[in-house]
Amino acid sequence: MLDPFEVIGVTKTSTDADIKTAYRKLAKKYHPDLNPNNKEAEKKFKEISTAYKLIENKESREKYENGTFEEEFANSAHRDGPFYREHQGEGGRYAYHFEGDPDDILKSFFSGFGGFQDPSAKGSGRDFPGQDNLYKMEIDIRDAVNGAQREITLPGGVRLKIKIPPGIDNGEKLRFKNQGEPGIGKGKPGDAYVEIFIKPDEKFKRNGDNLEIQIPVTLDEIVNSAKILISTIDGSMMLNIPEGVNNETKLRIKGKGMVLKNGKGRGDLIVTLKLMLPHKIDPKFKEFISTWSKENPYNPRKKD
Amino acid sequence: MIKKIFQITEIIESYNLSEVFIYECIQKEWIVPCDMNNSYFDEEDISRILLIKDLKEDFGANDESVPLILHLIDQMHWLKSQIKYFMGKQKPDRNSDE
Repeated sequence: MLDPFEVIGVTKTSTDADIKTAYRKLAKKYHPDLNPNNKEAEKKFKEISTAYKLIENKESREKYENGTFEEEFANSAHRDGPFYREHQGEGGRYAYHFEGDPDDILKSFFSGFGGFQDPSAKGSGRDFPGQDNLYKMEIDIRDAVNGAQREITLPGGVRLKIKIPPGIDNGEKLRFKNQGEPGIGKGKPGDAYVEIFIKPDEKFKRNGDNLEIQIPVTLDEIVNSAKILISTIDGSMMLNIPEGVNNETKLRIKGKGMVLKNGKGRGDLIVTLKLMLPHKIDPKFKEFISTWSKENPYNPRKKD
Repeated sequence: MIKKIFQITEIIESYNLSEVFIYECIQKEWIVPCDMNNSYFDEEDISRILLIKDLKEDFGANDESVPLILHLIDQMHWLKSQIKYFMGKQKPDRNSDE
């Protein structure tokens, strides 16, 4: 490993301020955004940023001198990640925030060189389509079932009306033609895509075209086929618990699930009954169950 | 071609950035994340955040000068892309010379 003091161009007696000044001088010289396409500068910049991390203050210098800094830290200390110019090859998203007619600006820019040609002249230039942009949007399951309308503002201030169709799937992408990056020359603009993420719901779980819900029920409700109030995605409704059901029995309610892809009809709501005994079993209940069980023995682990 | 996008937690971990710093960049409108909920960032957003970090930490730029520097850099890149485009237009057409 290179001597960090040497890399930064300081000595072991240099102060924090001296080291910082020397580092900043080098950083300005070798920063890859100031040295486009210069691999050597990028390498040097990473080298000096690692060196600086090792000796930037008294504590880090002590660790370096004692050899107690972690090797992993030294290896990961350099400036990592993309440099801005790498994304500005054909002008990036931020660069396109400028207003004005580029033809006018460039005409005035080139007017001193003579021989300026009309950029729109046929067959005289290169055209590139603009890049597509991908955005993400979270919606809740009710919006996924019933559809919804949202308005978003894209970078640059363009407002986009988003119509979420009923029955949309998690991860489905909605396309907005020509709302991506502008094209170069006569190139068409790219498209914007909005990827839909359906937030997990506390009550409802999607399973294909169906929705699933668990409904806790009491022993009385399940034994005596009660009528109970349950939630559906469209609101509340009464459910008749049929005779002969048990814990984990699944009941199907037609047409209360997701809207089908073709828009014609809906899936079902699958209700799973969850038998809940009282939180506290009182002696009276215990005695009753005990007596009843002796008179009506059955073994649920035994196959019929 | 579709851009790759990243969650804030991914970029905090990958590039040793603080959440406070990222939200400061958003709040001061130095970056406008590709996702309107400020939950996802594309590589251009990440490179811009890292550039701001470099400007502040390595070059000693203060909060007042950061937007000015960014504006000038964006303007420069925009002009570069336009020059590239117009220089392409200026190239002589071989067939037309014949």
